[in-house]
Amino acid sequence: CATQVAFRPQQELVADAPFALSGRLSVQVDGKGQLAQFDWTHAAGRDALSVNTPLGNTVARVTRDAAGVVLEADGKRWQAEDVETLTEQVLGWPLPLANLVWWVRGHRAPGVPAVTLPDGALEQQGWQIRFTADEAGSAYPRRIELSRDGIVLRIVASQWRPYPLAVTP
Amino acid sequence: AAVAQLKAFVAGTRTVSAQFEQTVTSQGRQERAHGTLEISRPGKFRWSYAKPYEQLIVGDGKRLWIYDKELAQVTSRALDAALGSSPAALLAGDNAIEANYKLREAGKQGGIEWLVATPRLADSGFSSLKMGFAGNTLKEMQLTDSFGNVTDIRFDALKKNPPLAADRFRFAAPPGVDVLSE
Repeated sequence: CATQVAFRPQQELVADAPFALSGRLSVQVDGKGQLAQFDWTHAAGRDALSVNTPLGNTVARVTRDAAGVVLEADGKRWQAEDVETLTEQVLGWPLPLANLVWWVRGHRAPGVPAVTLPDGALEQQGWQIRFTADEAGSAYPRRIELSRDGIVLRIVASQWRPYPLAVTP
Repeated sequence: AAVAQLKAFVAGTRTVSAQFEQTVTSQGRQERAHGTLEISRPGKFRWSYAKPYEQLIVGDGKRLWIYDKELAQVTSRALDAALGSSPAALLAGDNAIEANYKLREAGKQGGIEWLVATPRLADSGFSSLKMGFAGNTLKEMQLTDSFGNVTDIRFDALKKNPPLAADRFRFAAPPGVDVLSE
């Protein structure tokens, strides 16, 4: 199967450039969990993350902008100040979306205390974060694994696409 | 008529195998995937995505298993709870379609007769489902969800009643892979 090498960022990421990313994620909370496909468009202060089944139908969508955060699922709509409290309240586990914007590109979130663990993992905001890539020197990690008190979030970043101009901030 | 062809297709096939090409249209973008389908009535199926990534969905008659190779993850849930998430679960049931969907004719286009299936329970994941038949054989399915995503699945090389080994519909997690129940 795919070789796994620890991912090292090539250059210091300064700007929060917009991106569009598709991939798969799995969430494990005390032995229970789910696995899904996702599509995520991000620009500074704006996110739209849809979580889909393998068939492409959306089971949940999180949108974040200046007005706050909205989660749509099961035909219902919830609103909150930030993604962590909203997803913890509705899905049962906190999605650290604001920091994931950096972690998914293999970088630590700026302005948040960070510790590098003996095995090279990054620790920020209570999450232990491990990056792996399929080959050395790749621009972004292929897999990101986040773990924190009984929760394991695994992300495969399959496809980076240019930011869809139709959704400019 | 499509409904009669559906009934004939279900009644005439103890097992089915086919290739499928899935196209998801979402927010103006299209994503293609393809793979193979195997069915053994009642309730057993194997829906395997080969591209763009390897993912296997198996219904063993009691539970639904989803295995994502790259995530090294398996999820498992009761089969009846999963009906809406996989057309294979629908296709593998003896009368799963009539039991869970109201059927009506939707006319003929390009040699294919279509039916529209509306879920009797609101939460089946899809707000509408269309099935297309020709020669008592399933040719195409189209699923739309409440977010406006449209999934089109075309079947080809469909074989009726091929010999399929029972272990095609049993799932055992590969070593070192976590199994999570939903």
